[in-house]
Amino acid sequence: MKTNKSEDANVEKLLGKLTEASARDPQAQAQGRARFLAQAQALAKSQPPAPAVSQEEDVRHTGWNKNFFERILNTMKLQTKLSVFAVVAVVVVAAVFVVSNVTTVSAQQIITRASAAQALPTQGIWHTQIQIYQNHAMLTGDHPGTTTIDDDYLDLTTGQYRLVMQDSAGKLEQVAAFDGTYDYSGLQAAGNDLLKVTRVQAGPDDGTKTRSIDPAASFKALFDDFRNNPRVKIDSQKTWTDGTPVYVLVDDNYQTQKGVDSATYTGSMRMVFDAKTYQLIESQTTVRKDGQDIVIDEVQWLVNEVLPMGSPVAWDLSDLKGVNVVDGTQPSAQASSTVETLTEQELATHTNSFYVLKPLPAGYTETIVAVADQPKDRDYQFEIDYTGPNGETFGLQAVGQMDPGFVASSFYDGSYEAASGLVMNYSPSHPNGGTSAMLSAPDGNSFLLISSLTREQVQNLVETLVKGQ
Amino acid sequence: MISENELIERARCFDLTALAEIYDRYSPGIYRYALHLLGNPQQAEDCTADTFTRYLQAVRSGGGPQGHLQAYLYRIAHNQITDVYRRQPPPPLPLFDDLPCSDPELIQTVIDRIEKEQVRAALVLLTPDQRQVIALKYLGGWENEMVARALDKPVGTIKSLQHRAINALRRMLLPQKQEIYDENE
Repeated sequence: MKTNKSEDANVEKLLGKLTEASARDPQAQAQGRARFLAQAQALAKSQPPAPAVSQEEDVRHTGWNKNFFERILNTMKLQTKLSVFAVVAVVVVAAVFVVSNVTTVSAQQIITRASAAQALPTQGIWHTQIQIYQNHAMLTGDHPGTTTIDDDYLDLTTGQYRLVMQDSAGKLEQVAAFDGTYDYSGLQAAGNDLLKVTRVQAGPDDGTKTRSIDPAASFKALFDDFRNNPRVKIDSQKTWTDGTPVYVLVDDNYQTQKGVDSATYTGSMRMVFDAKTYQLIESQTTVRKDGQDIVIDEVQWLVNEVLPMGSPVAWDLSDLKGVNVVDGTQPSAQASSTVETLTEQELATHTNSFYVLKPLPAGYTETIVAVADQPKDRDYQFEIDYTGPNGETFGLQAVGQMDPGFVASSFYDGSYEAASGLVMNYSPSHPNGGTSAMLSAPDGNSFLLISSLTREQVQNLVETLVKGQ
Repeated sequence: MISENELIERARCFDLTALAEIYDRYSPGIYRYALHLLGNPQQAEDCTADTFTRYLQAVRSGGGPQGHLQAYLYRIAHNQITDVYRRQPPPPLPLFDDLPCSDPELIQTVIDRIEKEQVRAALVLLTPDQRQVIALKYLGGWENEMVARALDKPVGTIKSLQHRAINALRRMLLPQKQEIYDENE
């Protein structure tokens, strides 16, 4: 076919017409942003495993421990954990030397020895086993938090790795691996006995990526913060429970913060490392509440060793019991989860914290959607949407318990309390109408409310919201 | 300015500041991209919201991009748009009827609007790959290298897709265009 450059230019000119779009509605943009951040907040909160008993308080802990254990360990991809563990060891040991004037060995000696101890060889298989206990809600009692054990291997030459996370009962929670040919990944879904592990053809540079991890660069800021912490002190040499001589590093004025602007708790952060090898053995954070010391974080390095090259490791996870390996395709940008439509009765089987319009206004339709197969130990996520006869919308998205600081900073444009006790905090509105707000229920749960209606119309509807059942 | 890679890393920790920065940096472009292809502001907002929701879901499940976040988000958005197209039957290319008006400004407005509808209707009839190349290049203003990275295809393939798409668009649009101009001259 004969082509004509002027015709191509005409086509391009026509395409260019599509770019003459009108400006985005600032209210819609603000609502979209608020919705996105609320979703992120809700997902972030549902990330750590829930404690065995109900949470009493929402606690945020500031300082390096928060940055590291709460925000990174809980959310990062397993394959990057290995590198982080190395950094922690380096950070902890290095911090000792900054404040080591009470020890009997010179700082220079310790630095030299620790550097040697922490430096990984370039060959062999690095094996770590780490037990992590978390009690962020500051619950009292006999270990009321949750414990997980990570058993990880990394071949320092080939880049093959294998990461396995189990709960304290030995049940698999999460796995990831690269055997040189395939990538494996699996995350335990609620109610399943078998852990579904998806195997996909590895990318050509997967091994290279693993080998090129540079934890020191990623966490330099963390290192600097800790090194410069003047509160950190070293206890004199002690003996560990197994008879090993250890150094204990303590920050007795470690502070945690509840919420953003609420009470501050003071506690202590302690790190224990082998006085001979300088390997980190344990770190623990406690807070003092109601006259009681409560452990909120405890990390124990059960194993930290480098095995000889070629040591047998089941990189393909074939030794694990209770897994079902299925072949998949390379992950894409397509959604990884499916959405299902529910009735009110079906929703009530998942949660008792939801509100519906009763009676349903004339001409309105109700749609309830939720992501299928949600973990049962986390807040159930769903959305209830109403559409009126003229296309008007009124939607409620469950976002769990909101950080009061986040609500205060994003939904600050007035509030309204309904007779039922439901409270709406508005985000700034556009003069053209439409309403977005955070709707807080008396039970502490919140819902992101987005509507095309005016505030007054929304208030009238909120007055007719009743708790679903 | 925070680098994209740093934003990606911080977003993995659900750092709200980083996520807000990601939204502020990329949502306007995603919205414009969706609006150009869908032509409906509400659908474009929905597409933008779905794109960022899916990104969060991917991050939560340990996935999400290792790099090239912008390309990743555009891929999600484009999948959303393709889904919208799939749900709609292929539209007929709109034709001009007689315009019962002599106001040149109004006539031009109507012509512009119809032309846009024609182009969108023609885009629907392209293959998904062709449509994405055209959309990223001409509506997103991307260079071939960026498009290649977003689609994970060689640059040569991108050029080939673009060539075929332009040919297809010419066949669909220009005969009518010629008639339109003839009728209005």
